[in-house]
Amino acid sequence: MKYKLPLIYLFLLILFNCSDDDNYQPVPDSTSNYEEGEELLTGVLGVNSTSGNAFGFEIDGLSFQQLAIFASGNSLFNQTWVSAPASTTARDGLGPTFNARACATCHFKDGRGSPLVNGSNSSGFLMRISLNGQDANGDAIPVPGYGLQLQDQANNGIAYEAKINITHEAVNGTYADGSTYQLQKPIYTFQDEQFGALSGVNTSPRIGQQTIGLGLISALPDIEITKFEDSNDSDNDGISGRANFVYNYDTNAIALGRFGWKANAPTLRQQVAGAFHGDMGLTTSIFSEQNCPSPQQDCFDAPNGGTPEVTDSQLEKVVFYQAHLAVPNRRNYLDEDVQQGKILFNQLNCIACHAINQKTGTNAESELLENVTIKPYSDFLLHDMGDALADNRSDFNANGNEWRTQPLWGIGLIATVNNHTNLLHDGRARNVEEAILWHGGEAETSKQNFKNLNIEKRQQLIAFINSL
Amino acid sequence: MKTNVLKTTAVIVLTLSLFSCGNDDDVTTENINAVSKTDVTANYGNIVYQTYLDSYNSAVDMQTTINAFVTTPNQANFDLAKTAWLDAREFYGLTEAFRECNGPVDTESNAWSLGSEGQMNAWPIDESYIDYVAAGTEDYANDYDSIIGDDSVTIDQTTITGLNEDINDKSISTGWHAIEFLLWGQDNTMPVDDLPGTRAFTDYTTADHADRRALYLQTATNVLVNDLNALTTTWSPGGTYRVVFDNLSDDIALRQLINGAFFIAGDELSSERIIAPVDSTDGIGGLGQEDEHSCFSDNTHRDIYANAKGVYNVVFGDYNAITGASFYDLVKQANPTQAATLKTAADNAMDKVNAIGNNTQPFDYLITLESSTDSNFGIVMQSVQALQDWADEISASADAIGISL
Repeated sequence: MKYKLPLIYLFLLILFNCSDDDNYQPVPDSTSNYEEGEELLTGVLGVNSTSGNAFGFEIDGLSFQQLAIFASGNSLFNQTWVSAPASTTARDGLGPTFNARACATCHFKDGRGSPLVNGSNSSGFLMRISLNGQDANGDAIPVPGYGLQLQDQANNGIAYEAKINITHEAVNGTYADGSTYQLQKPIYTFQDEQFGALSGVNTSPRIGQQTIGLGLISALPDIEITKFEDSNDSDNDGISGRANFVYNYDTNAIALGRFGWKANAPTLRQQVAGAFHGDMGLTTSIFSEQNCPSPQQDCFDAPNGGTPEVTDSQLEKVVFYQAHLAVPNRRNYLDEDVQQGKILFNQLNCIACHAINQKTGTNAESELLENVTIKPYSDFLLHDMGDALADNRSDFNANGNEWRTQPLWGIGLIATVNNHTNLLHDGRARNVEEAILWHGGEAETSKQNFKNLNIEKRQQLIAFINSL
Repeated sequence: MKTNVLKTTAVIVLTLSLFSCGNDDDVTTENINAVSKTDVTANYGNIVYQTYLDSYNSAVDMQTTINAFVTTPNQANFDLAKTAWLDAREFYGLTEAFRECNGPVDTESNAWSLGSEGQMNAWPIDESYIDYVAAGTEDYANDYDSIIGDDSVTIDQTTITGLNEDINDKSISTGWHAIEFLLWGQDNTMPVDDLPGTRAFTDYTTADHADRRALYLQTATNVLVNDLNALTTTWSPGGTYRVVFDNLSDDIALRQLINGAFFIAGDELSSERIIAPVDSTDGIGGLGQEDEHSCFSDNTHRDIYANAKGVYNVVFGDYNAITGASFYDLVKQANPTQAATLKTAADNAMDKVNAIGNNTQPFDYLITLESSTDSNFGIVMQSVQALQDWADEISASADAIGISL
């Protein structure tokens, strides 16, 4: 917390003790644009933490019983699942093929995964795959022999599907003031494909996101998301934004997508069950088939850990836990640089997609999450982000250029929680500045305007984003 | 800037009573005995420093006994090392109330940040990450080549520090619980047997990798001692963070120190360290033994006591010989009724925690008798309730002095 006073002033304070800082209501100076409560991204539900556990707190006000569910969900989130059969029947059923053994592997301390590193097992990275087209539900078409996601690990005696390698290509750029920058474009290749060549399939690299505030996103009425839609760009600002409509495998109906990098999951429950299934090879009542695409017979014949492997009671606890992780309140929000950055964020029209002040409704995981005005800095809509960032893999209505606006809450604490500052869907951006520079498509104008700023203003904008 | 806190405090008390015009002193301008927020934060600084110093000194004692054991590995020296670990835990547990205070122990992004909390006290640990485990006890054992069993890994401070939390949040290679595992070994007996882990001292003489195990034990101990030394130094009068802390505005400093107490009572201790093991089905017989804080030594009952006592020290401004202005005193000045409620909740929580801390039965047995959904709580869940009530009163008391957590 920056709140430095000149020493002499401090000394005077001590002597005369007549300071306004006894009120803890910092008086903004005349140039400040501080707005009352702007640091509270989720109203009274936020948490004040600057530690490595900043993403791990429950929202305030849970009942005694709810706290117990939260604690159990936390344990399930952190625990390592093991292959069946095992003496600990409550946590067996891993795999047979998988990307991770625990939720916390990809969401370490409920935070952000890391980009792929050659030769080491994933700490939050995975690769989605598919063929062109859509199935009857509008979902992607699985790749024969592999499915919709590459599992690069497997239980003993079972074949993993393939390994993925990464190389980087430099992308050079220049700011208007003449200073240069260099981005890293990742290039992925497959090796050790066990069930046929993977050439020509659609691919989408992904890393795990921090799992804060999800219960609030869940509780947004559809209209609080769709109200930002401007599919035909009727206001001519170059920004359209459209909702993804996806398949809800619980209700077997089409629903608004809100979770995941392409907003392909309609509910938190489905997002969690999908991760159990795709990332850890664990069945639930929603996804009850073992994830063993033909011809993976050894995988198919392997013992399972129950039907389903993750019981409904366990699933509910994890969902409850995920729904009630608190969003940290902002830090350094009174710094003049941060306040100036906030102005720039609006001037550059970043706010058009990274939107705030949506209000949750009454359909929520718990009463605490109802009727809360939130500042996620996301509209949760799909936007064309340009060819440079595209994965060229469609996902329900999202085309190969479109991504869901990533909420920015918590972004400045990823470094503290996860010891890295990698951003974007596959972690290619090494910091906030690079993430901005990767923006294109509907965000091209905003990015160009950012590039036209002088270094001081660029730093102010970044300081603001890091205060979120 | 070197400040002699005690002198400064005296000057402040004097000048306060002479020149007081801050609005938080309105109520008590007449009262020459009134404490100020500055008195409270100064006294807190002394307590933090002394607690870290005691923790450091007790860890150095442990280091001495561990080195003696490695030099002369026999049962008697092994027992002394284990006793020294238990003695040192009594102090470390008190320091946890200084977490979540935007201080050096668990932040990363400030110049004064040490961020060593996870390196000192991460748990629960997948013990096979470090050393051998008994066949059939740990299903995840084949996930790891134990560091000790892998001759290609150099055992030094840099390496084992780098490996901590390298794979996931249970791949722990350093800290109290790594040392605990190396001293006690797995607790593979049923809770009802009332036995901790039963590692033989011959693991350090005739067993495979005995030399590497001994080196690991010493190295992990050295890392811990260094981490505690750094915390003690930075909190010492004139130390890097102590100066930062002394220069914070009163309300920010107060909010931080109260937040730490609130966090341990209302979250970490009551929820993560008590509810979670009560409801856990991990470990031998599905009894949750794996999810108790000190599962190898069966010392969890003392961990719980020390954590709660640390909160008590912060709230009432007393620690052994140190006594002074406290958060409680400020509340008493602002709202005597709220202060009385706070005191009642604190004493009740300590009573309930003592019922665990002084119990003849180990914690891993007590948790097998209860569930968080019981209609009539046993002593373990009663302590959770009392701790959370206390946390609520800490929060309400903060409000009473104009501080919102």
